[in-house]
Amino acid sequence: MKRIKLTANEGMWLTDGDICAKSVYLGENDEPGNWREITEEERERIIKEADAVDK
Amino acid sequence: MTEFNEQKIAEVTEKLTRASENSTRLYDVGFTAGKKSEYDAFWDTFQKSGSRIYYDRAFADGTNGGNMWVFNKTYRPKYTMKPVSAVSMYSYGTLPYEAIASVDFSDCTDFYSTFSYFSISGSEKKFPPIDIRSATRTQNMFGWCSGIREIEEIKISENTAVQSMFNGMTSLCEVRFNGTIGKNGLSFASCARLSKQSIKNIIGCLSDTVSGMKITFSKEAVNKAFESIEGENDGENSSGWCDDLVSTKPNWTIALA
Repeated sequence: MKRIKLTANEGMWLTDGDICAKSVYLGENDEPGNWREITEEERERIIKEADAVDK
Repeated sequence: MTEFNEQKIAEVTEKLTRASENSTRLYDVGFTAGKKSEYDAFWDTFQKSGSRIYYDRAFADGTNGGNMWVFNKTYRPKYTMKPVSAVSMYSYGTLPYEAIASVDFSDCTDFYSTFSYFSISGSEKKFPPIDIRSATRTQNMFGWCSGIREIEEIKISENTAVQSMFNGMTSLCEVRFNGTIGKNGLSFASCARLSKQSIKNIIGCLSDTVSGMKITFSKEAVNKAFESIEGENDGENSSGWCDDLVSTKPNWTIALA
């Protein structure tokens, strides 16, 4: 089965608000609209927030 | 003037020597018994005479480089350990393979930060098989462990929580799951050295029935592990990755970070 693959532009990241990635193979219940492109700074903020929740 | 008879002198000398030897022997026996009694008193208290099941921070070491728990010196548990809670149990510590292999984690539910910043001593940096089938919390279980290169086996069930176990674990090359990953997603984004065999094993363990789950791998690890031409780092475009693995789990979102 062919998967939809999203790829971030150079220097950018993709996020669904939960995880950050450079490229994503969407699962069958996932949609491109769930993902948006973000900058490195925004990614760092999301990761910091996720780490704070884990700790 | 007293006259000393040579025979008498020899007899007295022998008696004194014997007495001295006996006294040394007695001292040694007493010293050993004392040490044993101190060992028993400490570990009987520390391990509640074998009934302890909450081992939160039990063998955690300091963050300032101090190493309090040294295998076969200060770390010599008297009773077999079977924790139900192991929050930060070995955080910041350094112990050999056999020290961890002797602990039975099969009833343990809370693995929060259990081995964060932990190192396995010895050159192989191999972590023994561990049964986490009862786990309900695993955040940072192996967080920032730079001293573990391989985890021989992680036994799980479909109900095992496996979230955020490998945060910051940059040195991990080999890991083998035994069971089905289905309770929640997980991330190997920090594991840039993860091997092809390990990636294949992990994807093979992903549940075929759950939906909405996500798994993240290091883009660097995938590109290296599956590269079609050596040095090209083109693994994510290879058929070994796309057709043989990604396409087998359409119910999972697979991310490369």
